[in-house]
Amino acid sequence: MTRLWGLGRRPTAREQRDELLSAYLDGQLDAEVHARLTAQLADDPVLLSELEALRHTVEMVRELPPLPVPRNFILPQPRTARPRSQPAPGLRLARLAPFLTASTVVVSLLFAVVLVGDLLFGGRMGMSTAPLNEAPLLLEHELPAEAPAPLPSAGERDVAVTAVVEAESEAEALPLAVPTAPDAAQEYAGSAPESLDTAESENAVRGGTITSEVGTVTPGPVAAGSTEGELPAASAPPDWATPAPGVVTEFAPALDEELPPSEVMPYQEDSELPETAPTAPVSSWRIGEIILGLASLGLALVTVWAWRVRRH
Amino acid sequence: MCHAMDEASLVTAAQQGNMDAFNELVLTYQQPVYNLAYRIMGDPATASDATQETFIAAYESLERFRGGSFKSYLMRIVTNRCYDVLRRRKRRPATSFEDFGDIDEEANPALVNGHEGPDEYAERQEMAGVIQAGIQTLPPDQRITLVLSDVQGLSYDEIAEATNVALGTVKSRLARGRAKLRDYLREHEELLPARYRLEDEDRKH
Repeated sequence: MTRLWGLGRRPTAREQRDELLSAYLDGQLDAEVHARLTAQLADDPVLLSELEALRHTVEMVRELPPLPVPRNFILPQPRTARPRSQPAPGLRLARLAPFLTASTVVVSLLFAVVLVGDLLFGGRMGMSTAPLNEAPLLLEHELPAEAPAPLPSAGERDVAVTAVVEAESEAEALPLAVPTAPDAAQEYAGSAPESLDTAESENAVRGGTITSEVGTVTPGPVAAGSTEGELPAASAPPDWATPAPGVVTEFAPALDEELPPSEVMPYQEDSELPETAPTAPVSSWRIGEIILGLASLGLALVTVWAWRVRRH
Repeated sequence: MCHAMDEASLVTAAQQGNMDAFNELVLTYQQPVYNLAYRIMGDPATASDATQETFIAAYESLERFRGGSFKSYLMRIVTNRCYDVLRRRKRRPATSFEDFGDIDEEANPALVNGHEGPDEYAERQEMAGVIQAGIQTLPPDQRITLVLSDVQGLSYDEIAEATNVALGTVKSRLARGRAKLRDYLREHEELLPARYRLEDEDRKH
């Protein structure tokens, strides 16, 4: 007998003999092998003794008395409440195993396509960075030190002050405030001012237009009564830190229009000003990869489980 | 035992949600199922659990039963249940044969044979305890195959189907299991009653 046993191990002579004797007892040998073994048993008392011992062992096992059941194993009636047309959720899912397999393959292929697309084209297209004009603004005190702007000259500052005073006189009733031109001009033009708290400014200047040759300070609406150096971030242009010289910009809203209440910014202390971390560019390829990757992983797990339930 | 038609009718009714019909099948086959579980597992509590789980699983998957022997269907389920439990136990210490000597007449009146006296009954109890202890020493593969063949009387084909292995594997597992049990009985011969000893001269031809 050349068949391998177990993990590729050849059976020993004793194991081969026992298998022959066991099959002989059960009448599982070919007629020819059976006849040869019968003849050998007649001539070999040791082999015959082994056969008898094996036969006796099998007889004793077969003589084991049947055990009575300790109790009845009938199922309780409530189980009948579940109609056979509505199998357990697990079984229902098991029926969907082929469909789940196909879905997993499709989603995985999509994932692979998106992954390859990202590798090939991700750097050139599909990068949907946040628009520049939607980028969060840097408040004055957050201006980077390496982005200084030229200090306005004394004349420029006078022009700005004049503009602010005029605006103030014309729009006293407006509830909003902007920093004074000297403050704004000085602070935005200065390189990384220490804090708005230190600025000598009128802090409750109502909204208006500040014009200077250096640039335009465009504070957004600030709540009336706001304290030192609070500048809103919502309506300032993104490039206000480096305005083009000579550009005149008008603030919104117009001086003679009262701002709607919705535009009034809530009061915030300096320490409570939200930090405006720069938004990292997000790739649509990357979003697709994440979604499809998670979907394919989840589908794969559910599919494996469904097949296991189906097999059982 | 149900007749073939009766069994088929009961299975069909059970598949349509008739619990009474299914419980008829339970009552018919609970003893062989429990016996198989007990001979493989070696203790009544685990055997009871395996038996109950088998009938629950059989009911839950009844829609997938495509005919044939319902007994074989149940044997396959209980065998797999026992297999799973044995795999979880892994290297469980060998059980002493004394653990199986708790089957007394009161607990098991069916053991009393009308033709045997108290002494013979006691000897048979001793023999059953030693055999059960010997079976417990076998590796799970050989143990299950030996119980299916020599306790339950299944054919090689039925064992191959129940254990999901090839026919040749059934033959080799059965032969090795029988040989190991024979060797165990030789080593523990003094525990066997005289009439059951392998070297008993009266039993030799």
